Amino acid sequence: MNAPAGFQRFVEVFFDGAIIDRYLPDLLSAMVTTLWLGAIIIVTGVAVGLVLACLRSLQVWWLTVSIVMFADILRALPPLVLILIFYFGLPGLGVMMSGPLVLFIVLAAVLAAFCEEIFWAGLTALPRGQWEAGRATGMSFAQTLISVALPQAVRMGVPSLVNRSLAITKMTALGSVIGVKEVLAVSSSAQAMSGSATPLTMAAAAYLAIFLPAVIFARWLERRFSWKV
Amino acid sequence: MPGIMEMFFNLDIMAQAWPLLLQGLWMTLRLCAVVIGLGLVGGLLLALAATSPRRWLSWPVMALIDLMRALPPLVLLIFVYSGMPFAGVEMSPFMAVAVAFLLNNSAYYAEVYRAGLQSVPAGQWEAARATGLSKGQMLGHVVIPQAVRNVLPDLLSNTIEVVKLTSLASVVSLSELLYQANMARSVTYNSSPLVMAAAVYLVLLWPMVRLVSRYQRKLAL
Amino acid sequence: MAQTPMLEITALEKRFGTVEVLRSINLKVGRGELVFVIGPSGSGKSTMLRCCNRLEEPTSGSIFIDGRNIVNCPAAELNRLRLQTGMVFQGFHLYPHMSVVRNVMLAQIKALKRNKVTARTRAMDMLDRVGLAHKADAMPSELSGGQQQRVAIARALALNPKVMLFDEPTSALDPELVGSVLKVMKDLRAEGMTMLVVSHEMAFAREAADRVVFMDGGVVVEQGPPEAIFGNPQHDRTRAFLSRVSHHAGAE
Ligand SMILES: Nc1ncnc2c1ncn2[C@@H]1O[C@H](COP(=O)(O)OP(=O)(O)OP(=O)(O)O)[C@@H](O)[C@H]1O
Ligand SMILES: [Mg+2]
Repeated sequence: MNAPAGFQRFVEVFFDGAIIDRYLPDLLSAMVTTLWLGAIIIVTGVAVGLVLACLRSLQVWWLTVSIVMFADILRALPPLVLILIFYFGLPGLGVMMSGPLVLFIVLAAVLAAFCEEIFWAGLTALPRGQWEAGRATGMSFAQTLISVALPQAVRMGVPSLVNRSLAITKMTALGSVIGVKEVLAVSSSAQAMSGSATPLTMAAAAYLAIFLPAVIFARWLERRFSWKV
Repeated sequence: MPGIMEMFFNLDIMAQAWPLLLQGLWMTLRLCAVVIGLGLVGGLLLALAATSPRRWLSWPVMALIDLMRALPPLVLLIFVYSGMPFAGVEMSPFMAVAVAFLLNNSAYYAEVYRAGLQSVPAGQWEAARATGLSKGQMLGHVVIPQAVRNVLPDLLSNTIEVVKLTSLASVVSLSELLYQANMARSVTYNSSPLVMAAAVYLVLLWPMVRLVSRYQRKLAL
Repeated sequence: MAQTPMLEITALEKRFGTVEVLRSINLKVGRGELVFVIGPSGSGKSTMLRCCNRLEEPTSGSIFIDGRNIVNCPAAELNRLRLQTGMVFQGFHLYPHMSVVRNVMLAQIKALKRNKVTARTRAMDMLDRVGLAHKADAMPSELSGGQQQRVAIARALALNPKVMLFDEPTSALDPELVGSVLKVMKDLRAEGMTMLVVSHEMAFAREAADRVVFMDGGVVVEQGPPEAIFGNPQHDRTRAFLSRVSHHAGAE
């Protein structure tokens, strides 16, 4: 092979086989961390968002005000600000939380805020006749909410929900700032120690392996749901 | 154990840190101007390419967009900031941040525009063509204005995300708002500067968040 | 007991803010009777109907269903009480995310606490009754408007209501689909169901109604057998309305 010297050097720096071998096990275990953090963040965030939207539908003024405040603030603040406040600020009050715990709490709360808005938008977009049909057949408010309104609101929100969940799950990379051993943290330190850019390539590849299928799935979902209309 | 007021809302420390934060805010705003301005334009170009009937153009662009959407912005940033020098490309932190976020955000803006372009009914294209407009006139006068109007809330909400995103620049020591606040925190051993930074972000973004919510509800109804 | 009407509305009033929509409505519907309500748009027909299952809260007055006043019924009992009235809406309001048979089963399971098997059997019976048993597993979006409205009727019937309330059940339908819904209503009448129907299907009223009620401005202006109301109306307002409506019908 007679590759130009520049290209060869590029390959050596970004795709160094020896370095890949050395750091692959660490990276794989970091991928597991990223995956399960992402999973519990999505499950918790979506569930809390759903509960908040239901509580908001009760139209009790002080509940509504608190929920709107929560959703607005968490949607307006950069998650990294919250992460730093939780991680560096709370120990001053005697509340110690590990990096992964802080990451989980902040990102799940942010996702919950977005999900609440998505579900609520779905609920308010539902024709009033759907509620009336439920109530007219003797079902209670809660039964109508759960069996009639929510399933439709969730359906309407699915594309935004998937996109938002993805965006928030990708933020687990912020854990690298507070010592969570996820993909970015592990590869950054490997990069610093090895003096090679290859660990960064590995990090990019790892994230692509996790998120590219998810992005493609989101695209498919979006197309499917837009046909339905 | 010091109280919450002392640790998080210490007015003395806030007053001391304010000039620092102000400098950071200025940097944040400059970064936003570059990334939002170029992102809005770049995104539109990408969207036009992605919706083009020419597959040799649309497929690679779609692939690029998906690639950018799959990579966490911080990973992209670290890659550009620490990786590119290995390839002989030296960049100032500001440049690195601008390049990384531009790549990331053009893709997101492109997705929004694409939805907008697809929401313009085919009849509009045909009407424009029937009245003898050129391709460029058709896009510029008929299609793009409608597309943008249809997705204005999403454009706005993506713009909010960009402003929030700039906080990541603190990780590569670009002295924007959050970096300055965190510096002040580590010097004073007190979280009040972080709380103040949060307040600045809130003042900046809360009105926009409200606007998006109101807008989306109106569209839904 | 057999003497009491199935539905009796006395001195019913309804205000929206300061707007008086219903002012002292009095109306009786006997057992097995089909009463037709006609009147100009905005006269309060829908509002009256919706008061009968308290989708609207009456401002004052009473509504007796099978001898029981539903106006002072506590909120806790409301759901049980609504089971006594079946409501059919102009816009069908089928649940788009459920198959036809699940639409008919849902309230049976949730409100009546029937088990799934019983509910399904009952649902299939009702669908059969409206001629749609073969569509049980279809989604509502796959049905024509007339079919959707018949499913909505089956959904209401499945709960064994004492009275059926229809609010312009055919006015969202294409003309050629109206007949199938009217036929179901005629069958119901033959089986002895008590029905209160708001509709502008005058030909159907003439043929099937026991009594026609003309409402205007939130009051019952006059009522009587169809021949009397259509052939010899006593009030100017009734006459004016009928000539307007027949004009329209003639123009079509
Ligand atoms: N929720 C509400 N708030 C305020 N006003 C209302 C409300 N619902 C109905 N109205 C008013 O009450 C009046 C009677 O309405 P209703 O729907 O009962 O008339 P209708 O006889 O059924 O008319 P149509 O033939 O058009 O259906 C109308 O003037 C309407 O504007
Ligand atoms: Mg009406």
